[in-house]
Amino acid sequence: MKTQLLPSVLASSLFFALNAHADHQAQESEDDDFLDFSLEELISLDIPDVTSVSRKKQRLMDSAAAIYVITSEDILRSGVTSIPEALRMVPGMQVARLNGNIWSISTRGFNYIFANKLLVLIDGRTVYSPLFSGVNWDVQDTLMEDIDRIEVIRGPGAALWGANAVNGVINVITKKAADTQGNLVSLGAGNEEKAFGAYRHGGEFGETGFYKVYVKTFERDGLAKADGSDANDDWKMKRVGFRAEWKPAADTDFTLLGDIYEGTTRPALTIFKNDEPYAGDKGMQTFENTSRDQRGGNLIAHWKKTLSDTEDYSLKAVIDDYQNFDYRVTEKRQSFDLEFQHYFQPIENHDLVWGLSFRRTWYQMSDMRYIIHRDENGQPKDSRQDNLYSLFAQDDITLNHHWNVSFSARYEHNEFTGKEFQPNAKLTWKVNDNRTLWASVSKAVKTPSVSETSVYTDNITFFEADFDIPYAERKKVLAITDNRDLESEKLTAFELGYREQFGSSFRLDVTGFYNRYSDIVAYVAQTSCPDGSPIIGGFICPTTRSNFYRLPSTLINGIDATTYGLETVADWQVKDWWKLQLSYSWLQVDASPNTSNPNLQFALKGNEELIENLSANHTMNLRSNMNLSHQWYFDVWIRGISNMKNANVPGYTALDVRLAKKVNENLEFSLVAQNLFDKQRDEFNEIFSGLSATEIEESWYAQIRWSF
Amino acid sequence: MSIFTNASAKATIKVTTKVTIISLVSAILFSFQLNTARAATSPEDKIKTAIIFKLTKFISWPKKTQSLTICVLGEGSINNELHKINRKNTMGRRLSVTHRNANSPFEKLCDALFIHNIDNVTVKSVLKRLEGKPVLTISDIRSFVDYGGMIGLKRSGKKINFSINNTSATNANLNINSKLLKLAKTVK
Repeated sequence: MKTQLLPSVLASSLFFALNAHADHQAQESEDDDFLDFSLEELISLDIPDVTSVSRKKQRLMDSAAAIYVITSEDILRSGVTSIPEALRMVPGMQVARLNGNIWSISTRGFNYIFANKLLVLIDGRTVYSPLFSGVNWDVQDTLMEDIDRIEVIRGPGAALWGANAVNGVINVITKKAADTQGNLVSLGAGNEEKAFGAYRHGGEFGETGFYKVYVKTFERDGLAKADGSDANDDWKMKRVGFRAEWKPAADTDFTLLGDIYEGTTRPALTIFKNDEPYAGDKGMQTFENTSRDQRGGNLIAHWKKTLSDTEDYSLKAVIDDYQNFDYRVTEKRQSFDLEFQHYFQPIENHDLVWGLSFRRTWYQMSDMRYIIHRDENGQPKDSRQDNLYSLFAQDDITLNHHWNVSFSARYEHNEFTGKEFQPNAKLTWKVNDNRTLWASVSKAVKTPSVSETSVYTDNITFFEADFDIPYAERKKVLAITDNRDLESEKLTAFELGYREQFGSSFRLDVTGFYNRYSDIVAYVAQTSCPDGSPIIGGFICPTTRSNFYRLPSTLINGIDATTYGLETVADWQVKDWWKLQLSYSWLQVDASPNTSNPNLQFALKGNEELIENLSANHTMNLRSNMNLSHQWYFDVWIRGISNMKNANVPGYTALDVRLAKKVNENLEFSLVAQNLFDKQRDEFNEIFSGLSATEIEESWYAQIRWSF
Repeated sequence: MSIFTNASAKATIKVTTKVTIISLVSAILFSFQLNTARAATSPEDKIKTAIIFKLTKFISWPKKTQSLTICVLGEGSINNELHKINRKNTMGRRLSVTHRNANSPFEKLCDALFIHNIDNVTVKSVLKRLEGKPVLTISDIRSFVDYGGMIGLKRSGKKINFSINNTSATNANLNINSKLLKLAKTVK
């Protein structure tokens, strides 16, 4: 699994070290001398995590990347009920909810629901919808109690993970079956989280095997419309999954896991009913209760042979099925991945990892009402198949106790742009045990997606009549024609980082980045009408409605951009019962057209503003965890984000509070309030998808967790 | 570059496909042919070893000699860890850790025997041979204490605990300190 390529995130990581009761363990895994422990201690301590131990035992503190780990404790104590909401904790991660179940999540700029520069993995399985150019966050779920951690690397992880890991990698890692034995019941209810429940059972099989099975279901209330009425985008989901691990031989580990899910939500869509008989000046209409039902499932098999501390092989196969009955288009997608990885030390102080991977994706599209997949002649095409091959290698060289350098590169072949090469170099300087400086330079690409190269979109994107162009008296609907000749967007990224541990209670982590992008995809006007009708004034087309024009547009690699910023995290163990974490990020984006073609200048100017105004410039998180007496726990989370100009959302601050009481080791009651004192809040707006934005409301829920 | 319009690209893809598949397959085949070198040790191995080391302090053998021999039966990464406690002192006796095969005369050579990673048939036959002999039998094999083994180590969740079959131990003239019995998860 790619997980293991991450800098080793051991129990010795500083995140844990700051955790008072884990302090003990933190030291052990550093010098692993358990022999000095008493027997009572030995049987009561948790085995340190070894997920990434097979790589060099590198503390989180020493990794040459802007890595942030959301621990399982963070997840449980924040009261978040979904993975996208948990990501709000990550410094610089901008998370905005568009409606009941669609999020825009990005880091280091480009915050949009079609955010396509982040790679998201769940237990090593890639989740990304090439048809919509984004992540279907609404179906990425598991038991919150069973998430071991979420590792987030901001910045290009491309050399190891492949295309689209341009601005970062999010890796959700769930707990092993061996660590989730016995039964767990988690039930909750509230005003927004109407009802949710999960049950997990873990047991043993054979001589070496562990298994677990789980079910999860939830029903979430719809959000609110701007006028305060119910938006009716209620969201229901059911999920069943399992995991099994066993050792076919002493040096071999085999893991099999999978789940199936089914869900329904009915978001409001604003569409241009082009197919209905002429109805005067009616055109743009908002329809509630349009389908976005989804189902799917996946199976992951992972085999690993460990030859020694410094050599292992692994082979992973993933089958994934996803079916999205979206009103705009029904998408069915199956993919198969095969990945081989080998780690060894060819010479002393060189840790070498190399691997090969292959992915094949099959698509079937139907009901192509507004999003139409097409062949090279522009005819609707209801299926396709894509292949992706890649080869990667990383050499991590320990120069001496203080200096470490690492080179990695990835070569891949994709269907859209052919060959891509993505190299990366990192340098770490361990000034002393408590201070680390690191630097990294990398190249990454974001390859064009299916949606950009073979999909014609029409009748769901609107500009109001006052839009600042000629023929302003009428509303306009935007038609977006695919461009098969799009190139990859390219990034050269420079990062500098500094981490320091002050005494045993304070830690600081600062990252600065400077990114240069070229050939970013932009919308430009076309000079002919998609339906062949004569063009008016050189850039607009008639429609079946007298009060509407159609703007024909297409995509080109028309924008270059520079982004730079700073991300900081400070952890402070105020008292042994009180922990504070403050994070603050600052981001600047400067875009410019990369062509002097006068015909494109106007359109590209609009794109330039769009890109510059997508993300907020400032984000902030303050989290406080208190362990009070008599097993009471009190947690507060304040988060703030400055205004997002393009989304037309002013800056806001949100407050979450959680109070929990542990009756004993196995029984916990909690009360969570989210977005406290906020009757309702608009977090995101956009015009391209046709989806109506709905507003987040204050949420209260009570929960009980019982293990037996 | 588009694959739909470009014949040479199609050719490239075919070649790439072949090369990738061949290299994937050969890499996989190659990986199966390797013989097992020294396996990596995990924190779990380290904790189990420490527990085994500590356990010896709570047992009294009928004959107290200068040295205490722990024999190891079975292959695996924990062996590296067990060798690290060789020559350490426990209750005034010097530990000696040696690796043995299934047919060794354990009752002559060992004071304690740690069995791991071996088939159940062998485990049962070894336990049968040692019935009533003063050899402390320890294992992390499931159901070990049910087979008549004396101490079974077991991982549950992120912790390792142990069960004791005190009947077997008493039959073998081994005295297990009551403190240890209190710490055990189950006692038979």
